Parts: sequence; C-alpha cells; structure tokens
Amino acid sequence: MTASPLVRDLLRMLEPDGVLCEPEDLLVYECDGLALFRATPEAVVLPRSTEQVAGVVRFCAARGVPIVARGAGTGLSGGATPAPGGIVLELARMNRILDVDAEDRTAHVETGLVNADLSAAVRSKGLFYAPDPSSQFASTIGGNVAENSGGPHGFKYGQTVRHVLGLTVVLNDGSVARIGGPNAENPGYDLVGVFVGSEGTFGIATEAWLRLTPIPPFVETLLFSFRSLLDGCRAVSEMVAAGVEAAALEMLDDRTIAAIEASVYAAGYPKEVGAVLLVELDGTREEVEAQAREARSIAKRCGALATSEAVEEAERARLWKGRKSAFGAMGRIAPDLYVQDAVVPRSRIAEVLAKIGAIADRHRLRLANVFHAGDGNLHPNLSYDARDADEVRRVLQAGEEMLRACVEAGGSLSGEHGIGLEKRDFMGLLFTEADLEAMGRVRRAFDPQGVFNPGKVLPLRACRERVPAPAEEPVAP
Amino acid sequence: MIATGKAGEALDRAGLGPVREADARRCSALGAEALPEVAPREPGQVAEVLRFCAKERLACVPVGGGTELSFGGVPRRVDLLVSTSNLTGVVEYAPADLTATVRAGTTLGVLRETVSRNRHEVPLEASGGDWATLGGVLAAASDGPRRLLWGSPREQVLGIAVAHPDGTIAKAGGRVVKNVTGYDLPRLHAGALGTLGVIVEATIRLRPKPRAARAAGVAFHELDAAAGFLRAVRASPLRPSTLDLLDPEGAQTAFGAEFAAGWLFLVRFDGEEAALEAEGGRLRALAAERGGRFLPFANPERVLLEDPRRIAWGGALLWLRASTVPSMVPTFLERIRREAGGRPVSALARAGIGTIHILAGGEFPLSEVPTFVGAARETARGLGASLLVVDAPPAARRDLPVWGEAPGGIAVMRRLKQAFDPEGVLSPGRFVEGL
Ligand SMILES: Cc1cc2nc3c(=O)[nH]c(=O)nc-3n(C[C@H](O)[C@H](O)[C@H](O)COP(=O)(O)OP(=O)(O)OC[C@H]3O[C@@H](n4cnc5c(N)ncnc54)[C@H](O)[C@@H]3O)c2cc1C
Repeated sequence: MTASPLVRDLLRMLEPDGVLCEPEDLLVYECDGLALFRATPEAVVLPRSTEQVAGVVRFCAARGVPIVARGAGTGLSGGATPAPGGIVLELARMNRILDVDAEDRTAHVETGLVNADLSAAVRSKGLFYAPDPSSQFASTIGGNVAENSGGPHGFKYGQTVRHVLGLTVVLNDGSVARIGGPNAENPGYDLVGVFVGSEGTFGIATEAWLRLTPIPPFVETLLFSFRSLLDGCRAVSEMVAAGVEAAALEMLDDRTIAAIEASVYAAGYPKEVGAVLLVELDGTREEVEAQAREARSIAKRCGALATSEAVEEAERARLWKGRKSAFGAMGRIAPDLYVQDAVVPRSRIAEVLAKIGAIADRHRLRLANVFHAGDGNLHPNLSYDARDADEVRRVLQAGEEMLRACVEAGGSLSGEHGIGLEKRDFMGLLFTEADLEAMGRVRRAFDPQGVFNPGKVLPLRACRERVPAPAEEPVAP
Repeated sequence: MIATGKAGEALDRAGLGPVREADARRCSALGAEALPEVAPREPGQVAEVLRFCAKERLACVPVGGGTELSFGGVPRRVDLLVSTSNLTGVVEYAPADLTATVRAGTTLGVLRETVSRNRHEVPLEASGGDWATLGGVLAAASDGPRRLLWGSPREQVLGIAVAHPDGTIAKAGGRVVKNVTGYDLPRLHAGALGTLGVIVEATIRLRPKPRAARAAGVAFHELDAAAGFLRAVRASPLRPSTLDLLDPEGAQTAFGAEFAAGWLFLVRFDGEEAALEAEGGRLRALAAERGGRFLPFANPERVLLEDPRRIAWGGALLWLRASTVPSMVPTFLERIRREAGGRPVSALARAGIGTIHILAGGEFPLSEVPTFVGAARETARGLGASLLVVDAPPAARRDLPVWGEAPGGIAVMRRLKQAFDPEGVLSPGRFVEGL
C-alpha cells in the first residue's frame, strides 16, 4: 500500500517500525475494552521519547489531525476509541522506570509502564504501588492516570490521583511542561490534580512521579457469608462507621457466586447464600488483630452465616480467587460482558441493587454484581451476545436505567472507568449547562484547539466555544 | 452612613447590599486603609455580586474567617471584600455515608461540633483553627499536623459549587466518596485562593474518630541524631498520625522549659488501644537507640500544633513555608538556621510530609526581612524545594517575591485564569505570577 502524505510525514519523525498504517495492523486499535464503539485510525504511532511525542503533537496540531493517546487499550468507556481522521499515539514503548527513591518512596517512570511491573520492581525495597485495578497486569500508568483508576484496595489507599505527585505532559502546541513534582506542595493551581482523570483530553502524559507505599507487615483476609445482600450491606455500613479501616471491602452477590462456582474458577465459596463479603485488613499485627475482632463482631451481629480467615499468602489468595475471577467466570456464561460502573452513597447500596436487579429482570438479562462495597462503587455486570442486536439494545437500555437509578439515589455515573464515549451523553443527568461549561473551560485551557481525544467526556455542545488567548501570554518554549 | 466608598455605594444602588465597612485588620492584611464588605446570604447572590464586579471592573477578594487573608501576594487592587459569613450551615450531614455538604462560610469549629455527636471528625486543619471557614480552608489548601494520617486537604473534597464572575454557579464532583464523573474541579479550586471563583458550598469526607490516641515528644541535642531518628521512624512499620519536628527555639517557645531540650519531635498515634500500646513501645525503643529523650504527653491533643505561629517568639513578624521531600527536612533546617544566624527565627517541620514553617519573631529587624527571604529562597532553590511567603507586614510583602519562580504549566494556569476571570476581578495579583 502506498503511504498517505500524513504517514510519510510521521515516518520522518519516528523509526520505520514506529508508525503503523496497514489495515491489519490498525484492526486492534479500532476499540478499547468497550467493543461497542469502533473507528479506524489513519495511523498509529509508537514513540520512544517525550521529544518524539512532542514532535508528533506539534505536527498533528498544526494540521488539525486529532490525537488519541492509548496505553494498553483496556479502558471500559471508549476513552481510547480513535477519532475519525485522527491518529492513535500508543505509549507502550515508553515503559522505563527512570528512578526509584526508596527513602522518600517515590518512583519516576515513563507512562507506558504496565502498572504491575512497578510493584514488582520495587518489592525488594519493601514497597509497592498501591492503585490496583483488576487490569493491573495489562493496563499502563498513563491509562491509570487518565482514568484515575481505582481497585479493590482503593478503599484504604485511595484512587490513582492520591499517588501521582507530578507529570511531564506534552501540550497541544507540542510544548513540554513538568507539572507538580515530589515536593509536598507545589505553587500554582493543582494541574496534576485535574489532569488525573481527564481521560486523554488535556494532553499526553509521558512521565510520572508516583508515590510508593510500604508493604504492610501483616495482612489478614476475612470472608463472611450472609443470607441476604441486605445483611451484608448492613455489615459494611457498620464497619465503615466503626472505623474499620479495611484495605478492601468487596462484595459478591448470589448471582456472581453461582456463576463462579459453576465455572472452572470455582473457589469453594459457600453456596445458597445471598452475599459474600471479603474484608482485607493490613497494618501492624496488633492493629490488624484489633480490627479483625471488630469486623467479626459486626458481621456476627448482622447475621453472618460463616467465616473463613487467612493470614498466609496462599490461603488469602484462595479467598480472593473467586473475586478475582468473577469477570472471567461471567465471561463463560455468554460471549460478551458489559461491565457497568456507577456509585451510590454507601448507605443506599442494598436499595439500589434491588432496583438494578429488577431492571435486569425486566430486560431479560443475566446480571451479576461484584462491587467495591466500602465506597459504594457498584459493578452490575450483564452477560450478552454481541451478535444478537436485540440483546445489545436491551443491554444498553438496561445500562442507562441503572445509571438513572444510581443518580436518583444521590450517586454518580462512574467510580473508576470514566465517561469516555459511553457515558458522555448522560452527563446532563448530573450536571447543568453551567457545570459543563466550567469543565469545558478547563479543557480548553489545556487544549485550546481540541486536538486531544475530541468528542469524549463532555457532551459536544460544551466543547464548542474557544478561549480567547490572554494578551500577556508568553511564547511557549 | 458608613464610609464604604464608591464601590460600596454602587453595590447598594444595585440592590446587592447591605454593604458594611470591613474590619480594619482585614483591610491592613490586604494593604488597604478601608474597604467595603458585602456578605451575601445565598450562593446565587455571591454569583450576582461577582457578575456586578466583572461588569463594573471592581476588584474583589473573597473572605471567610479572615484567618489567611495575608496569604499570597498583596492584590494589585482591591475595591471590595466578599464575605461568606452569612453563607453558613450544614446542608446535609449523612452520618452513614461519612460525608457532609456544607455552605462555605461554616467554620471548622461548627463543623467539628456538628459531627462530633456521631463520634466523627473533620479531616481538615488550619492555622486559624476553629475560626477558619470550610471555604477558606479549601481555597488556601490549609493543612496541619494530621495531614500525615488524613492526606492533603484536596483529598477531602468530594464535590464543590463555585460562583464565577460570569454570574453562574458551577458544580463538580458529587456527594459520593469515589467518583470520576467529569473533570476533578474540586482539586483545581482547592489551593486556588479564590482566584478562579468563590467556593460557595462543598461536600467533604468525614472520618470516624479514632478510639484512642497517644502522643509523645522525643528530644535530641543534635540535629544529626534527630535526622537519624526521622529516617528510622519513616523506615519502620510505625504509622504515626503526626510527625512534627521543632527546632530548639520553636520547642522552647511552644512548650516552655518543660520540653526545652533541643530538637523536639512531636509524635502522635491514633487507633486501637491495643495497637497504640505496641506502637508507643516501638517508638520508645527507636528513640532510645539514638539517645533521644522520650517524653510522653498525658494529653495527646497538646502535640497538635495546628497554628505554626505558636513557635514564633513575641508574635510572628514573618512566616515562610518551604515544601520539600521528607528526607531533605533536616538539611533544610540546618541551612535555614545558619541563615538566621542568631536572629529570632524558629522552625516547625511537618517532617513526615515535607513542609517546613519558618517564623521570624516580633523582634526580628524589619529592615532585614527582604535579605532573609532572599537567602531562604536561595536555600530552597539549592535543595530543590519551593518557598512561599505566607505572611509578612504588608509594606514588606508588596516588594517580596511571595511565590518564587514560575511553576511548570504556567501557560495553562494563565489560560485558566483568563477563562474563568477574563476581567481580572478576583484578587488580581494575589496568586502565582501575578494571576
Ligand atoms: C478485565 C478488566 C478489569 C478492569 N478493572 C479495573 C479496575 O479494577 N479498576 C479500574 O479503575 N479500571 C479497571 N479497568 C479499566 C481499565 O483497565 C482502566 O481504565 C485502565 O486505567 C486503562 O489503562 P490502559 O493503559 O489500558 O488505557 P487505555 O484504555 O489505553 O486508555 C484509557 C484512556 O486513557 C487515555 N490515555 C492513555 N494513556 C495516556 C497518556 N499517557 N496520557 C494521556 N492520556 C492517556 C486514553 O486516551 C484513554 O482515554 C478494567 C478493565 C478490564 C478490561
């Protein structure tokens, strides 16, 4: 195939293997983890340095070619779906760990680094990188930063934003800015804080300074089963209220347990129960033991039927096995899985889950709930077959109704997967025109021309207007 | 009729009053003689006042408790104070969710009192203590000794409503504890000193009050030994909720002869009784290994130096805050002490975090303020730290480089200011690079 002018120009900036343009190479870039949205990019570039990224950005911005950054493409809201006529900029080749400071517990890395590789690299120093999305063996730091990803241990350790100290970002004019840094405070607006979670619409993060966390000296995992989800939720509320600072508080409902136990991933979870609650505690031995006593007594008071406990790593892994394989087990039921992600106030979990169950039943869909109970972050999972157009329609309809139920209960549209393309048009459920306009202003302050990931996050009308350039604006280096 | 100037009269005529005369201390903190002040009763009225200011090109400074007004540069111009003192009250306190939605003018004192009935605590601190307002604490991103346990104030804001000079009120975030719906504007406004808009309401996280707390001082004669202890504590499994380090002058001023024994660590643990016992034992052992004196406090509240000015001898003439990484704290303390050279300067480091408060006492010669600040800034630069003038007499402040060098991303910061405050009426000149 003869290379297009765009590709020929890109090739001048990168090595020959740094640009992909053959249709079969572009195929995998058509979508991210949410396969319901697809588009073919003009080309894919695979830079090896911040300078190369800056060169590509400067070139594309000058020609109005949209750029979509991509890490591993595991995103679940269509964030990495290519923009029509645009290129995909994949950071996979920028995956070096540049520096680790064990005393101040920070790491300086390139953003194409896979999340789990960082923890593996610093384990010998007694440290780990706390954000642990279930996709951590594939997803990249850049993707995690862009989505502000969470994970089971986010309940205690917080989402990605708590662990990002600074970033090197390439802005829309190809300039490179270092924002934030390892110091306790940095003068000026908290640009790092807003960049995290901006879903690739503000710029390209090429390097990150991350906070590392000491590996806790003692860990205990407790598994409680309950007759009903309601009992389980009550236990969670009481634990939160009593200050049980669990590292994780994860719940599985009866439908999920049944799916797991019927699959090759069977974890030996108690059958015929309404819910299983996993509680992980970490800290010093005394702290963990005191908290475990508290958790046990609350669970008992809330009607826990059975309890398993584990301290040894292998044993703990056994208790976690069912939770970790929940998605895989669901995948066995049907070829495709739609993972919904929404948040409700934690006091209203049981009530909203009842509504969600009714919605799935009404649309004749197979539902299973696995969720981060400690933060009220629900994941209603719907198994379906993408070849069945009617079922796809019902899945999307049910997904929307579930979001509405969460919003009505005082919740929000996403706890960790982001808005992307998937939920862009539901932003109006939560936000007014004025709210969206304020967000649009921030986006345009970062990217006045709308080069990065156009069409994502904000409903289109909120991105339209352009910011006038301030008079005293210095020429960017 | 009170003298509220042209701006005051214009507001009155526009029906945006009542306008009163601002407190003299507030005026002097902003380098003004007298200023009119309005205190809207509803968030919508704040937006209207701002719109009026934008239309009439009146420069206004938002004020909460007035405890941090001198923070930042002296504004290029001030015509008016917009107070949140009438914007008070808890909109929703959800004990089961451990969240509270609060009007911006509500004081920390009221908020702390409100949530204490359920044994909850507000994970925010400020030098103004109970008098600081929630809006002010967030706008200044104030912190205190327990940031080590709670994390930065930015992490406590779940949602926010902000009034802008275009007359709108924009919300972002929400009332739930985990949320990635839309951009994280609460983070943008936290620490922005009201230069992008006036925070009118916020939802924050609460925490269950720990069942117990213990505190101790650990004193060292030599800074080297103190530095070794700091490294040892940070490398240990101990998770103190406070790890502050006072220099000998600071210790003497804050605690008198009782603890005047050189470099003094203030360490506090919050948690379960049984765990605290063990942690206290470990801390004592670490202190003993390095020749530190272990000084238990009977009342664990006493170690919480929420207001760094408590270490300033004879009142605070000048207050600087440096930001670095924890490992650099001892070196920084040593250098700044050398710069002070016998003048009344004391230091309080939030050693587990990496911030250092430097206070020049009342007897510090006023004429030497600029050179001392210059030297402190050089010290900071040499160590990769940043330095901020938190407070200085307004006359001196006008000429001091309050914020230091332009931060990375300044071009984006300028565009943010331009987008939210195109007329430049929100505290013009108070923020970095004159924003
Ligand atoms: C099985 C499975 C389990 C998952 N579990 C979790 C979970 O537990 N918690 C959770 O939060 N998420 C989870 N996810 C979602 C997903 O893994 C996360 O959103 C992840 O952070 C995406 O990382 P990525 O590298 O794959 O990014 P991509 O999908 O490639 O990109 C995601 C977004 O980030 C942008 N982006 C990527 N790199 C950069 C960069 N360097 N600079 C600027 N923007 C960039 C992209 O443009 C896009 O908008 C899961 C996904 C799967 C498939």
